[in-house]
Amino acid sequence: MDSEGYTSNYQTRPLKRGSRWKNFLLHAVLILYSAIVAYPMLWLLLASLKSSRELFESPWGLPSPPQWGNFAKAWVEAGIGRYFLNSVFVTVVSMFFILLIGSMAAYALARFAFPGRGVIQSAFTSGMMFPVFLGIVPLFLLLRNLGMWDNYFGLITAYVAYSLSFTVFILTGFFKQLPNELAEAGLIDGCSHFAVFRKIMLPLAKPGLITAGIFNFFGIWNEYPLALVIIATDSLRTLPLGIANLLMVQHYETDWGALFAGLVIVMLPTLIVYLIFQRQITERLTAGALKG
Amino acid sequence: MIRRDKHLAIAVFLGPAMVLYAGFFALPMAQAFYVALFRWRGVSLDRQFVGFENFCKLLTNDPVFWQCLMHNLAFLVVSLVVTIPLALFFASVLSGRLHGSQTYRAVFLFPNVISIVAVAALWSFVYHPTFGILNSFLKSIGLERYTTGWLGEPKTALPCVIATSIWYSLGFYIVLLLAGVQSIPRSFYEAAWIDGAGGWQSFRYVTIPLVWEILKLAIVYLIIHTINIFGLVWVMTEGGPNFHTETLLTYLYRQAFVQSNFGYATALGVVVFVIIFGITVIANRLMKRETVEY
Repeated sequence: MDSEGYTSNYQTRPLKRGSRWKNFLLHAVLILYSAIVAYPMLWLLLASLKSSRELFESPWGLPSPPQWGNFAKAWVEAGIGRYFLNSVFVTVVSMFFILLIGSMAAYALARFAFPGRGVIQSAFTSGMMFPVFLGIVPLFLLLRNLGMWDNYFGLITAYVAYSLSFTVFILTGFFKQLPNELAEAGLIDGCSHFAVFRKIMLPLAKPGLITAGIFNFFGIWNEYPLALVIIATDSLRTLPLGIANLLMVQHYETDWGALFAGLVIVMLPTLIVYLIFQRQITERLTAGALKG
Repeated sequence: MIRRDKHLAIAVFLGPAMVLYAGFFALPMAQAFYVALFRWRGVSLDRQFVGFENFCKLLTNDPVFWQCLMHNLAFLVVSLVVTIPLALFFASVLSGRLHGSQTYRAVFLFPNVISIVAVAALWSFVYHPTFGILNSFLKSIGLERYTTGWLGEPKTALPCVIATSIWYSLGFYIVLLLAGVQSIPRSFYEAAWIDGAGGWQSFRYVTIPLVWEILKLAIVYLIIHTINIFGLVWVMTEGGPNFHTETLLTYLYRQAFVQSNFGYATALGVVVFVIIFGITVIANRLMKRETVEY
């Protein structure tokens, strides 16, 4: 906001008397907003350890004693455990195919010149403009007709198809940066095109695969609308679907502690992945912004 | 030999992606423009070609559609007025050499990576009439008369959901704009300072023009995100009470998968697509302005 922040480390400018106060004020604002972000989640964590009675009687207090049983109840009785394992399965399998199929396509688009390449590339890129909901009814009817509705085969196929646009776009950029000479050298040494891809180019594109993987992880682990339309059977529900359902049904029941515990279980994997890859995530957003 | 090899490789590498993308993404998207022309109820073959009837009905004879559009516009306008200035402010502050700016940035971005369902559930609890922290906070500071049912009240439901969506997305826009602010050379601010510019002036005449391209991008993202709102509303209120928070996509979902009006719902999908496309083009035109090269 103020030029102060940019120059305070430079000797070109004497420190003004007011700047200490200004710094203090800026920190106060930043801490206030951090509290607005973090407080609801801390409250959730505390609430997940309270009994229903405590929740109503002392909404601000610490849980005493902590009801660890809420987590066991959420995992077993509310079905969160099954939803969790379903989500792990769907996310892992979808990501495997997205990265495999996406990197193969991106490699072909980045490395080979052939007629129609530009058209195919822009067909993939322009897919990012289309809202999920535009094609949702035709997709639903298509999956029904093919016997792919209400099963993981259909859900994972839809996830892969919907993620390709973004994934191919990102990975093509990465493969284009790799020197072509390496691939040529591999071919001269007698490698097949597939061996060049798998043994030479794919390992080099690892940073790209990690970036695409992170964003696809968040996209699929958190995905809600497609799962809502494609999955109907309770035992097949993914975590977001299960939580949404519990919440909507729970309007009439009252095991709040278990529901709070369930929410903590949903957020935990995202928090862990976020903490590990925070740098890559902000870098990617930044790069996307600067390239326009 | 090598040539044939190459063509085979291209086909093998590109084939699976193209088949899946064409069959399960592009085809449904294209079919939407066709399905929208039918009166089509249920999954049966009971369908009838009606031309533009669905569109006519939607635009001229469906008050709920216009209500939804107004709600989405409310999301858009409030987000524009609140999110963009706040994001620009925080981006400017965090781009300075403040202690802990990495940590602040990480905290601010976190809501954006949580499942929208979890965000919706979390905030349903914040607004909960009996044990929600909002009401108990109001009680603790002596404003008990302002406690209410929040998501259950027609007057407060929409503002509450909009506030949640801002909480969810602000971090994303901060990080986006931060990229722009950080790329401005420090010497520009020094030059402005030497010329006698104060804090506000250097913000107005250095920061804004130099982040204009990214600001434009942020506004286009905001438009797309606010028109595409679904999960947050569906989980928090299901469009209620009495359609007071219904948005274009919750209405589309209701038409398609609660009432089985496939043709009508798809026509709505086409309209939403056209709206997003139209607003994006108009916004780009309006914001056309010399980009400052440096």
